[in-house]
Amino acid sequence: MQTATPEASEDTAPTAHPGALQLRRAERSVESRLCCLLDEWSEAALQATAVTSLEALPLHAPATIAALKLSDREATWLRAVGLTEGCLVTVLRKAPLSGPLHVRVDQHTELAIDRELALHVEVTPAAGAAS
Amino acid sequence: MSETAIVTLVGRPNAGKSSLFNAVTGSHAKVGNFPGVTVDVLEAQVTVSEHETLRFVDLPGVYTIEGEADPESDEGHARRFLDDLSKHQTPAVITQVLDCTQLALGLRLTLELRRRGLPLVVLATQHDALVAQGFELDAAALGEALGVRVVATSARDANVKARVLEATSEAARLKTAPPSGALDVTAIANRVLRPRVDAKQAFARVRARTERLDGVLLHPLLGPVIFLALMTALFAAVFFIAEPVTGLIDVFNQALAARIEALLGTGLLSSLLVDGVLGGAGTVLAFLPQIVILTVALELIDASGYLARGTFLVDRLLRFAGLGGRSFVPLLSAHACAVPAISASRIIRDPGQRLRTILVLPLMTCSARIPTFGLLIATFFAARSVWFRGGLFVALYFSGLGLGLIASLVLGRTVKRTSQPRPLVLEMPPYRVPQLSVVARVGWRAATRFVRDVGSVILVASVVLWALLTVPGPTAGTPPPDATPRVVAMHNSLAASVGRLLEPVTAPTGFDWRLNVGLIGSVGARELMVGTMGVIFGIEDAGDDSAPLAERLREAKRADGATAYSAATALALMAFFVIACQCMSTLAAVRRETRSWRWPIFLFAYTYGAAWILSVVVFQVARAAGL
Repeated sequence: MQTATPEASEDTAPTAHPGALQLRRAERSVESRLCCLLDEWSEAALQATAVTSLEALPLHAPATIAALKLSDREATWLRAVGLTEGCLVTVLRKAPLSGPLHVRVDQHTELAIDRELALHVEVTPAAGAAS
Repeated sequence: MSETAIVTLVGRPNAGKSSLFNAVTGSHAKVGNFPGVTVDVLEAQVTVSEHETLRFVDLPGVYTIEGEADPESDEGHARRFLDDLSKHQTPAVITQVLDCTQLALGLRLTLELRRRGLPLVVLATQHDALVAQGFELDAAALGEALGVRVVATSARDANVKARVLEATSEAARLKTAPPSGALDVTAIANRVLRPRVDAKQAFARVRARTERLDGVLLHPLLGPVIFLALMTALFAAVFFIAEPVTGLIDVFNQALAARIEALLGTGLLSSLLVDGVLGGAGTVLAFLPQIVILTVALELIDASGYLARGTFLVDRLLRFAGLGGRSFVPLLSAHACAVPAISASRIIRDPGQRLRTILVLPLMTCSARIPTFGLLIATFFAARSVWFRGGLFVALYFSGLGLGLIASLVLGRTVKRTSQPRPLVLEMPPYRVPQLSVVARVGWRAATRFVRDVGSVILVASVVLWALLTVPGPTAGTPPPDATPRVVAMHNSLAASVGRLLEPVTAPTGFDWRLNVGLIGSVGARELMVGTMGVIFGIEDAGDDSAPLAERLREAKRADGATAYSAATALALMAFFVIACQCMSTLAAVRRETRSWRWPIFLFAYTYGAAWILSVVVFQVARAAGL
């Protein structure tokens, strides 16, 4: 986060005491570091909240599959059918009575996937996706 | 003449394998007999030249041939077949049928097949669909990247057969194993798919069409209504359209029976042919139209892409009973007849779920139970109001479905092979116009398979039942004074002796030896109950008019002079009919679909056991209630 401070004009002010000037510089340095830390923290926090399950993904919001948190057998099966890490997925609709999800994978494949299974498919919403 | 090479077609489901197999082999396909493979694998010999023939084998659709797989699943069968192929000395070629509209996905299977070390040819099908989407496949570039021959085609191409034969024949001759290294399939797919000038618009057009159809067919409210309407129409077709054809088969059987009796008289041989062969196996042939109609309709629904949509809509509804969306169609059609419904269970890919569905299908209330329900309600509840009788009939009808779902839950917890099914992951294929020649062949194969069953298992069972009801047993009976020779024969028959022997077992259900004979007579088919009871009570045409039989049943006495049957007996007998699998055609169908005697025997044992328990409970409770 960048803060616009009139640094040059203050530093060059003729009336300022040298000790006070040093103190002000130190303050600004601390302030700037804090801002950087705040930036890093909020970005990390944003990323942490961005990873969600396929089941929780809003309709028509594209996302990338981050991980398949399933047993080896189930994960192998999903990969074989076409759901692999790195694929772009979009939930097109949800079946009634908490039924399966209708999902588009990349451009050409569409799958129906059990909602319980979709809970264990971690996705990262694509940048600019509708929330 | 050189040795015949085996050309094995492998591909993902919906890749267009059946259409291609059909186009190459014509009408010569038959179900092959391969050790350890218990699903239908079609094979056909195709002449390439005077000196060369190829044996084409069509494996079930698979997503992968590596990693863990249930041995009974399509993947398990395909893997076993390919393992055997690698061990044998017979020249072999693996031919992957790859849907080029889903190239990257199909190429993952290609990498697995390359690792098998057998000559490989890739047939990139659906090229016409790819062009409609605005792309073209550079087959030469793909072939170069994979190190195998690639043929871009579609099953509707006029020269598809020649091109496939040329490529597979060359691979069989050269016997070159493909390279097996890792490749980036997505990068290859992006490189070899060339966009046409109008690619963007074409793709948008194709997608918009699918989205429009899905918007209606998968609509949260409209979707289930359309699905139910379609299924009801299918049910009606099985139930009503088949009836005239079934009637014709009956007329033919009767004419044949009359001719046999005219030629041979009314002796034992004539009885064997008329009552045993025609009355048993011949009657079962009447199921043929239902089986063909249901098989053809399901093939049309599946090939058009709608079956996956229907599964999507109702999967959740059946999950609670351990079944899935694909069980819906067999469950519904079993209300017309379990025999075609058991064949229809082939659409269920999960082997555990399929077995569980097969084992509960015979509990659905089929049309054959209705004459017995009708007779017993008319006989023992005639004094009750129409509402009571109607309500009882409806309760009986739906108790089959309820008990079936309970049985499914119990089977899932007790029979390991039917344990909790795999969660649904199902490809939603694009909508396509089914190829009528493929659909017709599927219908034809279903018909021939059924006729073969009728000529073997069902014929033997019919003759055994005839012998039980005709051959004299060790204990002579006391037929009514005005009895015809047929009535006398049944009273003195082996079945009558067995019926008397079973009395201590059936006493808690309220059944005496005469009802036991009726139950033995209806082991082959439920609808024979009324006719058999008619003969026992000295009325030979009870099937046509049941009123005289109803009167005899009401007036029937025990040896001690007490009234033999009451409303409690009728309720117990109806409870027995709701559960017991009294249908040899069903048992033969289960034998055919599971390729084992174990499951029809299990089905027979569990349904008869449960039927006895329920009958005891119903009889005792009803009697205690004063009925």
